[in-house]
Parts: sequence; C-alpha cells; structure tokens
Amino acid sequence: MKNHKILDKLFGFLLITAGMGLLFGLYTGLIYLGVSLPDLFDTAGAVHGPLMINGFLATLISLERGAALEKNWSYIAPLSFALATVLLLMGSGVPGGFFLLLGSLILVLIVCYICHIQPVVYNFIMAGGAVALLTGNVLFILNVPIHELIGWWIAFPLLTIFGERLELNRIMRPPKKAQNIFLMIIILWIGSLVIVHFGRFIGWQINAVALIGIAFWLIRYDVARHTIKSEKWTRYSALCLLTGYGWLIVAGIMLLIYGLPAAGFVYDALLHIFFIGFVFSMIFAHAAVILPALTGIIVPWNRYFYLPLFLLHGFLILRVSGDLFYILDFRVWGSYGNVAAILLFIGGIAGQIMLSKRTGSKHE
Amino acid sequence: MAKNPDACIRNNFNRKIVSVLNNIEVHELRVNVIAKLKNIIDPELGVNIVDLGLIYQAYLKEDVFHLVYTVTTPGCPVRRYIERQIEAVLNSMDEIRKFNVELVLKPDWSVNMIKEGVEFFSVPPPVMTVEDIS
Repeated sequence: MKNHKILDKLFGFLLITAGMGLLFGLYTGLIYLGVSLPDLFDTAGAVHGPLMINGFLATLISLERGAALEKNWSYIAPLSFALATVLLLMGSGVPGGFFLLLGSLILVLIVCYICHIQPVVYNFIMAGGAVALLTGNVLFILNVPIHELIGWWIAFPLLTIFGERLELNRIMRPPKKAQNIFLMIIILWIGSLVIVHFGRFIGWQINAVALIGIAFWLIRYDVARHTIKSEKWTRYSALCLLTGYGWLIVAGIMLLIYGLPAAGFVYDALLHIFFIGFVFSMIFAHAAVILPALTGIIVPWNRYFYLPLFLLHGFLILRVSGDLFYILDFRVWGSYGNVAAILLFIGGIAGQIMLSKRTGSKHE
Repeated sequence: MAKNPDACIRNNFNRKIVSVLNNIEVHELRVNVIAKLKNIIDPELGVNIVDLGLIYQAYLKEDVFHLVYTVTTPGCPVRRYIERQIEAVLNSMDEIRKFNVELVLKPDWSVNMIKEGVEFFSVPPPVMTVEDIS
C-alpha cells in the first residue's frame, strides 16, 4: 500500500495551515476596517492582503499542485508558504520574505514540470499564474507599494482558475478557433499587467476589456451552463462558477470606468470583487472535489451550503454599493457579512464531515 | 502489492488461485474488474473512469494483476482519490491475490478517449467512498 496515510496527514496539516492563513487574513481584515479587536500580532491589519494571497491561496494552490505531482520536493512550496505566514504574523519580514520567495520559486518549478510533461495551453496559463505570484512577491519583498503590485497577486488565482476551467472544459469540445481566441485574450490580459507599470490608467483599461472577454468566453464555453440543471454539489458548483464569471464582468466594467485607483473606495470594491466575488466563489465551487482529493474525506451534500453562497454574494453587493455610493456603513456591514459567509461555509464543511462520521452516512 | 492477509485467509476456501486460472477465467476476471471500476466516478467530471478512458491496461502477469491508468492532466488534483478507489476495488476482489496499480502520463489523455454518448455529471461528485465500492 502506498503511503496514503502519511500523505493524508501531511495534506491535512497543510490544509489546516491554509485555513489558519485564511482565518488570520480575515481577522486582520476586520482590524484593517477599524473593528475593535485585539491586534494579536501588532500588524495593524497591514498583512491582510499578503496573508490572504500567500498564507491562504498560495498554500492551498501549491498544495493542490504538489499533491498532483506527488514528488517530495513539491511539498516544499506549501510548507514554505505556511512558514512564511507564521513569520509574517510574527513581524519577521526578512525570513518571511525568504520563504515567500522559496515557495513561489518551487511553485514555478512545479508548474514548469507539469508543462514539461504536457506542454499545452491550459498548463501554460496555469504556469502564468505561478509566475505572476513570483513577480508579485518579488515586488512585495522589494517594498513596492501594494497598489503597484496588486495586479500580479490578482493574476495568480485568476490565471490558475482560467487554466483549470479551460482544461476541464475540453469535454465541451470548444472549437480550435475559440480556444485560440481565449489564449489571445489571456495574453492581452497578462500584457496589460505589464503595461500598468508604465501607464496605470491605460493598462487597467486594456485589462478591463480583456477581462470582460475572458468572462464571456467562460460563460459561453463552460460546462457550468449545462450542469446548473443538475443537482446537489454539481448544481451548486455551477451556480458558484456562473456568479463568479458575472463578477468578472462587473469588475471589467468598473475598471473601464475608473481604472484601478491607488487606494480608496473603488480600489476596495474592485479588490473584493476579484477575491470575494470571483476567487471565493470558485473555492466554494471546488471544495467538494478538492477535500476528498487531498485528504480522502468526503463532504456530504446539504442544501445548507446555499446559505453561505447567497450571503457571500449578497453582502458583496452591499459592500460594493457602499464603496460606490460612499456609504461607509454598507461597506463595513458588507465586509462583516463576507467574513460571516466564509466562516459559515467552513463551518458547514466541518459540520457535515463530523455529522457523516457520527451517523455513518456517506451521502444525503 | 500483497493483499490484506486476514482477507486472504478468510476467503481461502472458496477462492480460486490466480495462477491456475485459464484463459477464459482470466478474461472473466478482467471483465469483472472493469465492471467494478465503472463504479469509480471522476469527481470533477461526474463520469466513471472506464467510460472516461482513464484505464489504459488491465492484465494478469505472473499472478499479479496489473492496472495501468492515467489522469486527465498531470496537474490533476484528484489523482490520489482515483488511485485509492482503484486500489480499494482490486483489494476487494477475492480472485486477485496481488496487484499493481500504475499511473502513466503518456500517451496524453484526450477527450477522444471518452466513450461515445457518455453523459457528464450524471453522478454528482463525490458521493462514493472506498467502503461503498468494496
């Protein structure tokens, strides 16, 4: 028998670490918003972004890739991100930065190795995501302001997800021409992130056009349009995907109008449209697949999961409205609601797993 | 891979030893394995792994049942899940004394390997566990 049990424990530990990164990220986000919580790590909420990107997303995504390869060296990436999270929280910037770099480099190696085995478009797009993370983290360590590098951090989960969706949607057999168009738009989108460093407003305008194009392409060719008529996790996942694509269009329209300011309400709205509206929607969509893949634990379906999903999107609408119309209360309550939605989703997953173990039932 | 010794002893009386299987029985064994593997659902696509074209080879060689499979892409995160399910199926079959499950990434899997007329997501992911299959 293979060392499944050891790997289950390692992956379980790393998943918990990613979860801790998420929880601390949410906690520091609340502090950043001015909620009167004890600032346990004396960071004044400054590490909210880095924690969400590296402590949570990078740990999770590198774990997913590492688990697929099953090479011992590939586990260095999630371990490095986990360690960097702890060090950043403790205020140890230099060693924290070192492990951020190490994790990013190993993740790039992982995706390059995958591209070497199978040099195809969707793997190249996912590799672009890892390179974007490395770029963002190098700039972060060089103390480049967050608003200057944020495009690369946004690109990391987005390109990873775009590549994954293109790979999975091969079953829809999109025409070769459509696939080439998708690749062209992706290249334009990545190119716009470089242009942003030279001409911020025009860069984000180009980015917006490409983003809207990507969203419409995904809506047109994603299997989610069909699986929305299915049931249980499949239907739920499709709903998460389609709402996520909807948020990409909203982000694109806002970028066209405003660009991405260096700070302020529109900046807040856009970042959270990307990370809450799109990325977390994708995480909700894939949780039921990723958990058993990594740990062997099945998450039984329950209609309860619609609650956190509706709260996530509902409160994001509230938050974005608050940002656009300068209603601070909407913004604050919207962000509380987003935190609650994420916690309710995690709680639901944990609860369902415990309930199924207690009752012995495997599914609904 | 040797099977669980307890299970082997338990089934020792009514089990045919693989080494004395004739050609017809070997064929039946392969058919049985493939039939059972059809219960394993790829959680990302909601299709069983046989109809999806992920099973490349299933054969018996020197008392060892070999199963060669692939995944839809080298970066596929559900690879471990599928492998464990395959191992559980082979472990559950009395006719198999030893087995070897091998992942290969060449030739690349493609959508052309999917059985014609397959309905995707006819089984919502993932509702089966190792225990269900065995």
